[in-house]
Amino acid sequence: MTEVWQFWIWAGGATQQSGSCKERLTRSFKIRNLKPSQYKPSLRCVLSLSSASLSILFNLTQHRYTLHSMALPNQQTVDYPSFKLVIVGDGGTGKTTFVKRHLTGEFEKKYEPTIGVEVHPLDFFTNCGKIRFYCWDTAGQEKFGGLRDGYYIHGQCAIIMFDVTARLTYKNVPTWHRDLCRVCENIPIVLCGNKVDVKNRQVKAKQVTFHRKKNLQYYEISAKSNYNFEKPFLYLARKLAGDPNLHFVESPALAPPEVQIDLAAQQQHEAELLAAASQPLPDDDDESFE
Amino acid sequence: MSSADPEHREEEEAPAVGDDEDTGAHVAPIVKLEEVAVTTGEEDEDAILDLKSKLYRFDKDGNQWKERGAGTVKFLKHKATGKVRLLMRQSKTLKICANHLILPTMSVQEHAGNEKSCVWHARDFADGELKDELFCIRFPSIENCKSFMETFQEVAESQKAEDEKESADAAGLIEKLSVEEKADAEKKDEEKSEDKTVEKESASGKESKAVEDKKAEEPASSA
Repeated sequence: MTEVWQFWIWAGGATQQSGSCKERLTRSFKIRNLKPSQYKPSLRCVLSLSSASLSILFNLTQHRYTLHSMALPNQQTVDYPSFKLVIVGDGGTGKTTFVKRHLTGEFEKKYEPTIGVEVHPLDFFTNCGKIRFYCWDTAGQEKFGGLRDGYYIHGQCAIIMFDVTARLTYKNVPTWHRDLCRVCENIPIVLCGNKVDVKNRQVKAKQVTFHRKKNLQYYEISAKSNYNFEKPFLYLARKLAGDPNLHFVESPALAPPEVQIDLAAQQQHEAELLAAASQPLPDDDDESFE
Repeated sequence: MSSADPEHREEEEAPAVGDDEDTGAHVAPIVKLEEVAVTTGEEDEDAILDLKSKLYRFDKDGNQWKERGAGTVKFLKHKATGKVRLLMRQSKTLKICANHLILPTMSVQEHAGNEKSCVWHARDFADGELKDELFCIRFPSIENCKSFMETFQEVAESQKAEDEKESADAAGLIEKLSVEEKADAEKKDEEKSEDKTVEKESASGKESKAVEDKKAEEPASSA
């Protein structure tokens, strides 16, 4: 694919890739803090930063748990461990769908290319307390790449996603891995083969061997059926903490407060419920229950 | 301890050997985490029903159902207050999908297009703040769906009975206050009673007062 971009600036001698002294501007830098029940943008911030500038900013905000509260607007500081997780892979492999599945529980069928990067905080409760992954869901398509590997800076763990129904996405994994490792040295990386629920897969499990050559962990997953969907996060958490026995535990369920019963509101809810009851459910009935 | 815990623990502790072979590189840990006591929030409750299911919430903007999570749904009855809530957790991650009380005014009805599903409205507290939600839940079988609906209705009815009982308790409380006044009056008349008798009556009064305080708290909490 011929690479075309509209804007570039010179970044002196500071470049991420040897032999190249051109840097690309990001078009948009989306940061969304979503509550699990809703997927609505709370803030969209457009930043124009070169990789070098980004690096300087991140260095200024170094913190024990590498918080980026100053560099990233609307990122609230948390008092428990948090990690920058970079998610890369070809466009259409399911990176955004996978993240959204964890955030809200919904399965997004429609494909909408990610532009630049979208950062989502994702919390888990473990037997060693609460932890957070800042999921940097990057663009897989070349033309929407924005800062490209500039988003990898200070990544502490990573997921490389490919689609088992599209052989080309697996063939491109070495390129993603190479670009990632140039920026992030010696971080835990999980290779994910997505869409294993589809019958006619093109990449068989036996054919996946790249992870053994490069010391990555490999999981076959399905964002649609939730097969192994927690495994990448659990593996990374164990590696980051150096605890192979770390596991997820129940989120604390606070007692719901008493509610006042409003008869007028109740009647409206009943009317809405009748209308909603006639709308079809989004997925197939014959799916398995875990 | 929740009856579902052993299942979740087993899933965590007995992964497929081949599947979880660690082919990753050795990396230095970034953080040092200490084990902490786990608080599920269910310690004071008994599970009435525990079923595998898939939960949806209705998205009004898009006029469509959207998945909220797949896992286990439970009715949990508080050992002290007798109040019942619905709690659903997602499999594997054990995050909360739904968390709300079952109120006397609530009812559940069948989903029009699916006999393994039913719908209801609730003020949900899953995110730590109350939010109006229309929920739909789907079960692996028709029997499980019927069981859920029947239990839901039974719980709502029982909560109605509980509410009526609370009203009766309040009335009884007023009556008890009058009796207490009489007892105080009688006590003064018996000033010259033996020490032993006085001590006994004092203990009795103390117990009565404790009961009174306990009951006084209930109306306040329900307010």
